[in-house]
Amino acid sequence: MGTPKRQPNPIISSSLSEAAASSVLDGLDAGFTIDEIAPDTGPKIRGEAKFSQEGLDNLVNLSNKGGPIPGQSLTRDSEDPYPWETPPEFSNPREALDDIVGSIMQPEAMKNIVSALAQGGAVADIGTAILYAKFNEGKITPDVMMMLAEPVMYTIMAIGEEANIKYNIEGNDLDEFDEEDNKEEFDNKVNEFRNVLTDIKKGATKNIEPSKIDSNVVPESILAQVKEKGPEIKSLLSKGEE
Amino acid sequence: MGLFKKLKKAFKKVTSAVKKVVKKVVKGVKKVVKKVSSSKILKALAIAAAVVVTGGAALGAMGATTGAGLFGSAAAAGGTGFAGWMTGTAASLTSTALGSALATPFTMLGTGLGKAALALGVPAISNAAPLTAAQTAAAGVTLPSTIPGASTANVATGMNLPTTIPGASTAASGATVGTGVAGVPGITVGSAGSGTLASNVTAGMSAAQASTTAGLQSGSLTASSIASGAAPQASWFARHPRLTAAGISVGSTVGTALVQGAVGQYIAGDPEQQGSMAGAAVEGGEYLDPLKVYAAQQGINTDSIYQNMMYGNQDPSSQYGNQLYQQQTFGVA
Repeated sequence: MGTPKRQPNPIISSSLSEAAASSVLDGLDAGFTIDEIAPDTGPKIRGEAKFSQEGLDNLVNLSNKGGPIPGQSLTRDSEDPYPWETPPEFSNPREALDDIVGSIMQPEAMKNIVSALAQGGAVADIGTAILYAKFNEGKITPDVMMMLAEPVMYTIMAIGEEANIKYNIEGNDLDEFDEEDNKEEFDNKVNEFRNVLTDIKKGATKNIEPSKIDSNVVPESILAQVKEKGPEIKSLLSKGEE
Repeated sequence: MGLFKKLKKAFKKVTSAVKKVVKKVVKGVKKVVKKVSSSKILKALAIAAAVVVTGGAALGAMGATTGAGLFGSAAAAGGTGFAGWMTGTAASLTSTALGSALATPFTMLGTGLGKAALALGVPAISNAAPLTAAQTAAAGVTLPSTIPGASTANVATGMNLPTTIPGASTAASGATVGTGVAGVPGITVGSAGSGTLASNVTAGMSAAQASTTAGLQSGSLTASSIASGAAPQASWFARHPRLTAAGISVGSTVGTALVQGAVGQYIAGDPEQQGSMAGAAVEGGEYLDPLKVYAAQQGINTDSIYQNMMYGNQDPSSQYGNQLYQQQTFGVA
C-alpha cells in the first residue's frame, strides 16, 4: 500500500460524477496507483440479462390491465389522500439520500440488489425502482427523486463492484466499455500502421536519384524524360487539372 | 399524460444522462491515466462516489472483502487506504485555510518563547525537573560525582576536621560527652570549656564543613547521599528571584503596551485610506473557502446551501454524513 504524498485537495461539485473523478485523479496525483484505488479481485461474475418468457408474459398482463380513467384521481376522497399527495417526509435531498442509502445498506436489501445485478438487472432500473418506491411511500417529492438518481445509481454500482459483478448500467450494456476499449485499441493500431507506412514511403522515395538508377531496370529514354520534366511529373493518382 | 407516465419518462431521461456522464467521465479519466481499462476506471469511480456519498462508511458496511483498509472498517474509521485518505477528517480540517491560520500563530508563539529563553542563556531548564549533567555543564557548573575521601571511615580526613578541639573537655563542662560525638572521630575528650558541645565542635571549621557536620549530626545528610553527589540544584530562575521578578515585570509591561497599541490601531483602522474597510473588518479566510467560492460561482445562495446537493470533501453536509454512517449496519468479519 503506497503512502500518499499529501492530504486530499478540497473538492466540491454539484455533480457526483465530477466529484468522484476529481477524487480519483487527486488520489492518483497523491501517490496512489489505480490498483490501490480499484484492486483486482479476480474474474467478475457476468450479470447478463437473460430472456424470460414468464417475465414477458407478466409484463404484458400488467400493461393489458390498462391505466386509470382520466380524472380518476379527482374522485378520491380528499380526506384520505395517497401518500404521495401529502407533504413529503423529506423535503431536504441530503436527508432523503441518507435515509435511502441507509435502507440500501441493510443486509437483506443488499442481498437482493446483488442478486438482481448478478441476474442482469440494470443499475438504472434498480435505482429507479428504489426511488419510485420512496416516492410512492410519500417520503420524497418527484424533484428530490430526480436529484437523487445519480447518487443512488453510484451506490448500487459500488455494491456491484464490491460483489465483483460485471453489471449493466442501463439496458443490456454489459460489454459496452470493453467494446469501446477494443475499438479504441483497434483505431490506435490502425493509426500506428498508417504512420509506419508513411514513414517507409517517405524514407524510400527520398533516396531515389535518377542518375543512380540502373539503365537495365528503367530504359534510358524514360530516364531522360524524367530528367527533362523533373518536378512537372505528376503521380497517376494526383488531382488532375480542372 | 398522467403524472406517473411523466415521471417515468423524466426518470428515463435522467438515468440516460447519468450513464452518458459516467461514460464521459470514464473517458476523461482515461485520458489522464493511460493504458488502464475502462472497467477499472469505472470501478475506481464507483468506489470514490460511494465514499463521497456516505463518507466511506458505506464501504465499511459492505463487508470488507478487499481488506488493506480500502473498503474495510479502517475506511470508516478514517484509516489508511484510498477511502481512509479521502475521508481523513483531521486532514481535511488542517488542510483548510482556517485550520492553517489557527495553527500558525500558536506555532510562532512557542518558537518565540523558546528563543527568548535561549537568549537569556537558559538552556531549557525546568523548575520541576532536577538538572541533568548536560544542563549543569552547559550552565558552567561542574559538580563532582563524589566528594573525595568522604566515607564514614575517614570523614575526618575528607572534611579536614581538626584533630583536637581546643578547650573541649568533659571535665570542665561536667557533661557526658560520648553519645553525641561518638560518630565524629578525632575528638578527644578533654576540657569542654565554655559553650555548647556543638559550637565547640564546629568552632574551627569552615562554613561548609560546619554545615556538613550539622547535617551528619541531624541525620539529614548520610554517607550515601554524600557519595552519590550533590543534591539537585534549583533552576536559574529560582536562584535569582529578584532578577526573574524584574524580568517578568519589564516583559509584561512592554508586552502589554505593545498589544494595546496594536489592538488600538487594528480597531481604529487606517484614517488615511478612504473607502477601506473599517478596523477589525478584515476579510478572513472564511470568506475564501472553496464552498463559498463555488456557491458564488454557481449563483447559489449560501443561506439555502443545505437544500442544494453538492458533493466533495468541502461540502459541509458530507461531513454531516460522515458522522451519520459511523454506525455499523452490516456485520464485519
